[in-house]
Parts: sequence; C-alpha cells; structure tokens
Amino acid sequence: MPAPDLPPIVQLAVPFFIGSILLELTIAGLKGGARYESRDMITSLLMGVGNLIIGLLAGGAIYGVLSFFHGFAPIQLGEQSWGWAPWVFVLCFVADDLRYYWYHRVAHEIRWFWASHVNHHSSQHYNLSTALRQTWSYELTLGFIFRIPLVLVGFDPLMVAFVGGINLIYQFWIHTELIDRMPAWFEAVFNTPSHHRVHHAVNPRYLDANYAGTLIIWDRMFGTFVPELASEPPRYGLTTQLGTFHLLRVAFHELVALVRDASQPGLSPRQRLGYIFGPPGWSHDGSRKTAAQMKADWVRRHPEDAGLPGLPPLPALPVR
Amino acid sequence: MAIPLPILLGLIVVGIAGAVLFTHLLGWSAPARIADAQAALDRFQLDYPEAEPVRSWVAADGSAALLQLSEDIGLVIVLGDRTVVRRLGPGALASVRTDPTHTHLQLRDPGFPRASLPLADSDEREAWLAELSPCVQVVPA
Repeated sequence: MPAPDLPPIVQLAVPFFIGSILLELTIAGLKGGARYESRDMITSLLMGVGNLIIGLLAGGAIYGVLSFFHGFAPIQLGEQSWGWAPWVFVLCFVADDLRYYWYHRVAHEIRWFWASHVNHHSSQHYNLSTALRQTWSYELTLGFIFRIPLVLVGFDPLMVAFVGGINLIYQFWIHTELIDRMPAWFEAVFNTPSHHRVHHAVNPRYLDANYAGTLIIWDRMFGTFVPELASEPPRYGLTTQLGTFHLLRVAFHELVALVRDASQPGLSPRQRLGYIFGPPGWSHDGSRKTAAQMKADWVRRHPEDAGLPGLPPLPALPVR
Repeated sequence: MAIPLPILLGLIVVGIAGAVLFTHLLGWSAPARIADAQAALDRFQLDYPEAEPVRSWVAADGSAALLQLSEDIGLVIVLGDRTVVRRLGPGALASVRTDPTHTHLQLRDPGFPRASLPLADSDEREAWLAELSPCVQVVPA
C-alpha cells in the first residue's frame, strides 16, 4: 500500500504556536499567572526557528538512516494493505511515546545527550515560548538513534516521523503556568502542565522526574513520577543557570564544556569517558554534583523529607 | 498541504516581532534588581545552601553582587528579570579588566562568559580585585 501524503504537521502548527503565545501573553497581561521576559522569549523563539531549519536540512539524512534500518525489519507495515490504517498510527504513536520516554530519560542521565537536550531547559521561565526553545544539536548528538527500534519492528519511517511531530505538538501546551490542574483522570494518564512544571524544575526533589511526552503512565510505570507540591513551587531552568542570552552559547555551551572536560590533561581513559557518558554533574575529582548527590544533600539538610517522592531515604547509620 | 516557505517565514518574523513588542509594552523587559546583601545571599544560597559569606558588596544599581566566602568568591548577576550565580574558585576567571566605572570579569564558563560589575569606588574595587586575583587562570609559561 503506498504511503499517504502525510502533512508536515510541525510546520502547519507554527501559526497555532504563535497565536497561543500571543493569547498567553494577553491573559498574563490582564490577569497575571504567567511570567515572560522579552530577551528570554526572543532567545526561546529563535532557538525554535533554528531547530526548525536544522530539522528541515537534516530531515532527509535522518530519513535515509531510518529507511536503511527499516530494510532489516521482518515485516514492513507500510507495505501491508492495512499498514496505514488509523489503528496502526495509534499503535505507532504509543510505541513512539515510549521511545520518547526513554530517549528523554537518557537525555537527562547521560551527559552526551544532555549536552543537546539542555537547550530546552535553559530558560528560567516557564511559558509557551519555553516549549519552542529546542535543541540545535539533536542530529549531531545522534538523538534519532532511539527511533531505530521503531523502524526495526516494522513501522514506516514516515509514520514514525509523523507521530513524533504529533507528540512534539502535544507537548507545546503543557509549558504553561496558567493551568493549575486538569481533571484527575486526565492527570492520571496524560502529561499535563503540572507534571511538566516538575520536569522543568531545579528543586532537588523535582530533578530527573516526569520524562513523559504525552502519556505520564510511563513515569508511573518506571518509577520516575513526582507530583507537583503546592508547598514547593518549582524554580525553573538549570541547576547552574546560564548567564547569557547569546544563541550560540545557549545552543552549544554544554557541548563545549563536555569537550573541554574530557580533553583536559592528566585524566585516565575511564575518567574521560565519565565526562562524556556519565551523568551531568559527574566529575573525576568530585568537585561538582550530580542530581542524585543534590537530592542526597537535600535529605541531609531536610531529613523530614527523606523518602518522599523524588527524594532518597536517609542514609543508613553505620552499625557499631 | 505545506505552508509556502515565504508565508511561513513571514509568519515567523511577524509573530516573533509582535510577541516581543507586546512583551516589552507590558513592561516585561525591566531587569531584576538585587535589593541588598541579604537578597544576594538568599539567591546565592539557593544554589549553595551552605555558603556563609564574611563580606559582601551589592552594586548601587542592584545589577550585581559579590560575596566573599571562606575560600571562594560568590558572584550574583542580574540576567533579564532573573539572577544567575557562580562560585568563583581558582582558575574560574580568564581575565579581569577595569575601567573607571566597571570591573569586567571574563569567565572560563561557556554558559556564563562575562560579567560587568559597577565597582566605582576605587578602594572597594581594589579590595575586591585582591580577592578575585586567585580566581584568574594562570597560564603556564
């Protein structure tokens, strides 16, 4: 069955993105509830434009790579008479959402991928423009390799790209402080503004949590779900905030730091690999802190919080 | 079904310009201001909870603050309507340059390349320059 002419949905969503940002600005201006800052917003929007351009330029090459691997699939669903049926799209969407969860988790837990994904987290604001602050180095850091299993099990690369676009568009609206909570059944199943505010927060209890794209069930299944607490408002951005709005620095600061760290003289090969594939914050001399260490530090200072969602238990006392 | 490229580009340019102008008109281009030494310390301790400064300086315009810690220097800088902090230890700075009104720090941090401190008082400036000098990277001969 020939592939249908799938629309470039991310491009088509651009007017919706712009209109929604203007609407959020208007509501925030009238009623408050969301915070914008002009230079922060320009940075976010231009990062989004850059991401769109790089995606257009590199899309063909990535499609080629995925098509190559798709050739090894035992069954090519797109070739079947039912291969483009709506239920195949739904199945592909769910499978891709699971792919997104793991890509996203790895992008927070391995510095190589974090060096790209950090772009999206580099604003201290959380509004709809933050959603468009997208990476410029996704292709360079090979983030697309997480899509290979989908084409290997038979999903057509075009369908994988299409549902990935839907997932990206879904995630746009959750970048807002204007919406407090959705209905309980929705919060239980889907990623929401509340869940995603936690993901963007740097409060120790919120670090490395809520990796979901569309379905929050993956975080609940894999133990990374942390609820937003009214008693602890999220602080957004990075644990070491950026001190610049310069686009190239926003885009590549972590890659530059990674290369600098891994190439410093006097390190063992294992230490160099630690700077590349260890968690963000790992250092050979212990001079920096990973998210796990920040959580442990928090529990040491606030033992009453030990074992709460997002925080470890108190360290065991030495037996005498 | 794609949006023609010239129309897409036009939408993006007009959309970004409109949103930024709107934000500016709403007054959301005003910088943050560090009110006093306590505010600087409160912000610094969000990132470094155990920091206990022995001395501090806050710019008269509230754009920056320095905290002298037991071993390092704490830097608090306004960026837009937020603040950013760094702990400056040995080698954290590539250079320090002064002019009559400002002290310019060039950091070795790709995500925070430079900071300008309105250290106008010459005695104050000299005192802080002395504190900052161990932070300047020593380039081997």
